Amino acid sequence: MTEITAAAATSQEPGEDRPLRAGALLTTCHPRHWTQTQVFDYTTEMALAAEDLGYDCVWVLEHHFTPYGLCPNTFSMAGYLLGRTSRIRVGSAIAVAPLEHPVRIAEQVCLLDQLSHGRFIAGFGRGHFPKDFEAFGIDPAESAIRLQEWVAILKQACCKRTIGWDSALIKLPDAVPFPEPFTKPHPPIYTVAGSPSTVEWAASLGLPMLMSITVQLETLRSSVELYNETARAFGHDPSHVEHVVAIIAHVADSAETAYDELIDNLVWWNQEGRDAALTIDMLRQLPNYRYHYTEIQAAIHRGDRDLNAGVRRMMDRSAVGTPDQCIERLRTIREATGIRNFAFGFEGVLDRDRILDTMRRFASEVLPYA
Amino acid sequence: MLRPLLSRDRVLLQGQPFVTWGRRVQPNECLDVIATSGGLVRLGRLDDVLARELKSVDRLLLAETPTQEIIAFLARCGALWKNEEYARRRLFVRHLSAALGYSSGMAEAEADLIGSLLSAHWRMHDVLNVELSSPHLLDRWIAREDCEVRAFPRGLVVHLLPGNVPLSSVVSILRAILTRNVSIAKVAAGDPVTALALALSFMDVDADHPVTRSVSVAYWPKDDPLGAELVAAADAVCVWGGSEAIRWAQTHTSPESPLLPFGPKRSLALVGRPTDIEHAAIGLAHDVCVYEQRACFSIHQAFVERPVEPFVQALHAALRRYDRILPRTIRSEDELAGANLERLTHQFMGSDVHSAGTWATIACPPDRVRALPGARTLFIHPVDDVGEAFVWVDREVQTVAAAPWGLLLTHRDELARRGAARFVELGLANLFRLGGTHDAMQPMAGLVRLVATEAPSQVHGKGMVLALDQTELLEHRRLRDLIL
Repeated sequence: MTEITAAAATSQEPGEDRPLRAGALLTTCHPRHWTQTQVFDYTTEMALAAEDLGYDCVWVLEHHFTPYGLCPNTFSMAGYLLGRTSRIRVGSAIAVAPLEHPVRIAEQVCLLDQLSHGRFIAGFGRGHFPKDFEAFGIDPAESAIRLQEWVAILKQACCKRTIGWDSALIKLPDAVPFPEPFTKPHPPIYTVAGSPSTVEWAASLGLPMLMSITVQLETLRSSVELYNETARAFGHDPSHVEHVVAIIAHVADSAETAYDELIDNLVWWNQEGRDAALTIDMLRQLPNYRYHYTEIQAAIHRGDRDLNAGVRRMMDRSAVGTPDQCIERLRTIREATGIRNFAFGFEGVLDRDRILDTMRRFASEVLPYA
Repeated sequence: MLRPLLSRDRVLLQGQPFVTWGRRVQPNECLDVIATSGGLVRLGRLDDVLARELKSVDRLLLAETPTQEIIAFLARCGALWKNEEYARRRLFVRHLSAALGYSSGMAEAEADLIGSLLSAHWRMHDVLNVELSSPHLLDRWIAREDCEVRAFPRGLVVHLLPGNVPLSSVVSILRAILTRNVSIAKVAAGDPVTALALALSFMDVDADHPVTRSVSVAYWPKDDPLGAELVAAADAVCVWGGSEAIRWAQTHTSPESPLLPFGPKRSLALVGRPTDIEHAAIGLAHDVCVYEQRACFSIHQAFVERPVEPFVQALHAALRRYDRILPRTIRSEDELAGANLERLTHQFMGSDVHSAGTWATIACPPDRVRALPGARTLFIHPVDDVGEAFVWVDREVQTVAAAPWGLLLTHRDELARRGAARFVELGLANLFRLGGTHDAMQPMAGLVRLVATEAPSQVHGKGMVLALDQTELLEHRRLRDLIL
């Protein structure tokens, strides 16, 4: 029944020979010691510094009604940054797709793609903050299906040059959208994929995933494995898909110093996020957020609901410490997950000069060796 | 029989890693093996470096981790497994379908069972209580008559896992974890999926937890000398499978180390005159279909008291129902050919063969059975009294499932004397109830060392009326008074 038939060569992870790609996350978080204008000024400075220092990309985030992030429209923000830069790519990580009209999304994505000559990356998520859904009149129970349909409409608008659509959610006339995309067949589309259902959906379309280091490395890897198997089943070659993982990045002369410089700020920032996010009671009522509900349950069992401990664990998994420790950490993530595309969160220190300094040190002391 | 190399596109699973003490490792060398489904699976092969790493473990790594912490960790892992939105579970379902040919329904059911097993924290306490006399025997010294007794892990347990029942792999590893041993789980080519998924799910919960670091998963082919060295180095060996696997393990296990053999066994059913024929029939259909008759507890033969027709009609309806509940697995060509050959042979011999494509019943006297081909093939032996089955019961019989259950009360002594190890109601063959035995053993007792601290001389002890001064007793020739 189970005999050995032949020896085979060592298996190799997909894309093992690809170089590391580095991006910077621009959270536009608003600590009390900065004015809102300073937040945007510093964010712009970071984007310009990223371009000068050779980073591949910057990522802008969409949030509403919270100092967790002041940017309510990633397309506008990306347009501004694309206009201020000439080389670096700018991505949305993410635009909350269900809050927007799908035709608006398609038009804006193609417009940015044209204006930047293909430097815009369209990253989408389904949203996780209840006030957003309430204010924009969207039922959070529909978030996943809206995300999926809106992305399908975007792809159709780019590839088939029509917005014609007929579903329970939306009916659109058969009309040709303008502009057409600069990038053919369509600009790069990323999606946040935490739950396995979303991973499988992304894989079925061959869309790369935006992931974060909030989970164990092995968990991240299992998502990539699930993606790869599903992608193959749908005829996509996963070795050509560049997922992105977002991690905290901070360099200091010792790990202890690096941790100490970040911990309070990160606890504050995560608390802001937690306060704005769907609560466990809300999640319990939303079958399409079952994954998130059980993740919170698991975090409670682990003791990670203590924000301090949870943030420390996240830093343990991130590039926080001396340059050598950061290099080692990036190598570990690459080896464990096969992901080579990083979105670094440099802002944890919440000090303009230190943020820019960390970006410089990362560019010169970490990235060339990771 | 060495098969020709199959084409690469038939490789169902590629690059399956090892886990060494909580760390994922991609072996340097790979082998293509044929899984239960008949497809190819590419597995890593043990080499010198990995074997050294496996042997060099701290064997008492888990010894000081409190039982409640171990059980809490397992419960956290179980919560993941119970969640359909868990990537590892989804991969497990896919891989199980590929390797064992399971339908997605059967694979999902197996994942549910694993989740339930891991999160049954109360049951784990009870099992420890049943098998070790106290759930705390590994945590502290427990007073017992004139002594205090405590259980200690044996150390390194090597599991030679089965390829037929995924849950058994989990059970084997869990027993070792609960008794605080460290485990090397050698997967079977038939099921290279389950133990690996379990170990990786431990890493999902907490990569640095002692439970995670106490488990390794590897593969080596039959008669591999490095595998034999690992078995020889083990402090206990749990071996699942056929007589060949058990003989191999017996050959290589150290004489100082216990060997716990599970298998090879077969199981049968006794059907008397149940008041609810449909209930009994659906129970038998379940016990035939679950795990596709590949498990020790799978029913292959049913001794049915005459008249059999009403029961057989109900059974056929029940088997059709199970086609929907547990759709048939993909079977290897060998398995299908074997089943079809038996069915045709029995048709030729004049047995009453009822074949529905996905299952078959063959009514015949028991002495006409030449082989038990599986693939949902059930032999029905009409009898005037179920006692006629006794002559067919020996030490190879594990489970006797009966309807009505009361039959067992009448016949269990005789059946047990003949070698049967377990009695259950029809329909419950796969559920090992709390307090029960496994192949006539309580396996966790074999995975610990029971150490006693005996009371000092000041304690007379039960049955004593004198102080325990043996010199005094010898000098005055009072030994006869020592023990009353």
